[in-house]
Amino acid sequence: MISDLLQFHVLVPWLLAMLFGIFVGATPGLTATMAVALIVPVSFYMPDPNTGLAMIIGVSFTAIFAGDIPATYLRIPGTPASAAATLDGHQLAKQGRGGFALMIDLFCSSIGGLIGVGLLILIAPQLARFALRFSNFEYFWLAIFGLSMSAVVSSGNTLRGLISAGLGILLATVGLDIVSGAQRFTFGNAELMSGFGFIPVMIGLFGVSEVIRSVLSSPSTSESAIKTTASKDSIWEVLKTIWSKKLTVLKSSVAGTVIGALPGAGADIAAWAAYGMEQRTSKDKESFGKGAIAGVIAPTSANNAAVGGAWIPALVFGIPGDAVTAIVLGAFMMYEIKPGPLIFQQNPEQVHSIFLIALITQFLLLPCGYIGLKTFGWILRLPRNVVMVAVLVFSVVGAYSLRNSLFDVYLVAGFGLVGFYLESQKAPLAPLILGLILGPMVEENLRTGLIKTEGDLTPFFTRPICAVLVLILAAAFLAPVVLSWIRKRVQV
Amino acid sequence: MSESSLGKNRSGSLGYVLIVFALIVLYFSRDIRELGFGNNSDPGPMLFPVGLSILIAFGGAIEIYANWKVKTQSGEAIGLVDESSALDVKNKRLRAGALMGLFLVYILAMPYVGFTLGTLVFATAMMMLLKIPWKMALSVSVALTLVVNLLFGMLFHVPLPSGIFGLPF
Repeated sequence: MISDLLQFHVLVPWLLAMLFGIFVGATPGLTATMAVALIVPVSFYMPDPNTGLAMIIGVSFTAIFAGDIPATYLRIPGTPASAAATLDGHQLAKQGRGGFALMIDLFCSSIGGLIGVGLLILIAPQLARFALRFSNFEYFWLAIFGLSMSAVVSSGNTLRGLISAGLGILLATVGLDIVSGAQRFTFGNAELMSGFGFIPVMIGLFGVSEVIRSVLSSPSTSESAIKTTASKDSIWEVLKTIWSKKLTVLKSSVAGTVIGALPGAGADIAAWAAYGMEQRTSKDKESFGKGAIAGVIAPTSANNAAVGGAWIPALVFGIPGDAVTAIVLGAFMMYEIKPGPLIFQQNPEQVHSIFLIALITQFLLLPCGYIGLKTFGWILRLPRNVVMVAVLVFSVVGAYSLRNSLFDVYLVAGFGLVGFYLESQKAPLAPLILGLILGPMVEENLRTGLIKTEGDLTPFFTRPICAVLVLILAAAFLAPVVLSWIRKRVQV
Repeated sequence: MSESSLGKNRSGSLGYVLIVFALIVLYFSRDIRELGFGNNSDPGPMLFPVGLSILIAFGGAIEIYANWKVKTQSGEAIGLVDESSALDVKNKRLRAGALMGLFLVYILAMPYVGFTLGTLVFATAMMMLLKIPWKMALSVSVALTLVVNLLFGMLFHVPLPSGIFGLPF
């Protein structure tokens, strides 16, 4: 079966599709979902179904990785799943180690993807059964858990992190209320009915604000966009570094897979959760946000692992883990692969093909990702100010292309100014983005849960999974306080 | 002015801005109307806007108090610290302001002049404002506009604004 997949007529379209995924994922405004959606119709023209499947699966993994490239070099996440990579990856790029950070990113994405697919193959049925036990109550606490990570990632400044998260949730209330249908802060504007789009807000907050900051701090017009150093960091150094952080890779990949398996929780939540977990358990917390290698490894391993995790409920129950998987499922049906509990009995060969394709993709990611890194690195040798102007233009057209609406472009400009102001006041932006993503999940599940229980809050604390999540949350916040108290007592 | 000084010594306006923002949100929350067919157990669409506004206002108050405490303890005024000459700071601020102004003009004018012409003019003007030589600025703008049009306009079939002149793509 492997020999069937490594045929020329399968391999070439597969690699080309993966390069396409790299390109789309690395362009802010073009999402991994868009990359998969665009490749699906092309895949139908392939004579061999394996070729079509390989193209679709290949694009979904590479687009997620590729979002880390502009996140690192330009602090503009190419996809929402890469927002966590901006924190430490960009700091490393400013220190002239962007290439090193991205090589680590590439290998960790590949390893994370391998672990995610490996877990998918081994424990798909068991994990899917667990995921089905999550109801509104559990999802509410999961979203709160994700938001609490925002206080964690804004280390040393919990108050501003929480304020930022609150602002994000508040922004998420704009539009039609999903529970009651009421209009909130729409001011009669049809564009606001669907709320603030996540992508334009993200481009504005991270991209445009960075351009403003760059202009204010730039000492020379001829300075290139990114410092490049002589290549002291060979692949051997990269591998040694990853090996020294092997536990981080493993923990983050497993966490990413589990979170990716939860329907509605995608690679973006997985990346943030892994970052927060790693920072919380690190002996060197203070280095996070300043170029910590673990800060690059954790989210990049998790987000690719989550892609594999999202396939667990998708294949076994036909419930897509995220938007990308939803499109892939649709494509599967066109290939007469019917996801569901009987898939392993009725279509074992197809399932094995899918597993093999997913595994081989993780290895093919390395050369495709390397080509993407080199191409992007070359572009960034241009003068800094030229790159900044190009960033603005791509921000505009990227935001516009989402809904063919200039309103999204206005959002980019507005949030660019907001982002610049907030960061000048030392208010972190990451929790705001998290609040925007998770706010609807928090509100919808809280209110739906209350409707189900007729206003009774007890199930939110007494259901077994909820109780565990509450205890983990309490431990996450109380543990440092208790440990600090114990340390002081011991010293006395 | 270095980035580190921008970060360290904030102006302390955040608390006030947050309180004003929260009050504005509370004011407009009055316009939220339920459609009347909801469930009595649903706390309603106003819960989160009102609750979060109150929390943000409270956070702003804590922020103001924290700034005041630091100010009185350190005995220094909390303000922006100039580490380079005042003129250099002023020039950079003017340039950043002009850049954002140009950017706003670009996006507001785009429906009328179209994407192609708007980007050509805007990108050239921006690069010249950032002291890129005009020949390089023009060449890069032409290349940039071409690449974006080919990519988004032709490959992804995004209907970019053509403006009143109906320029290509």
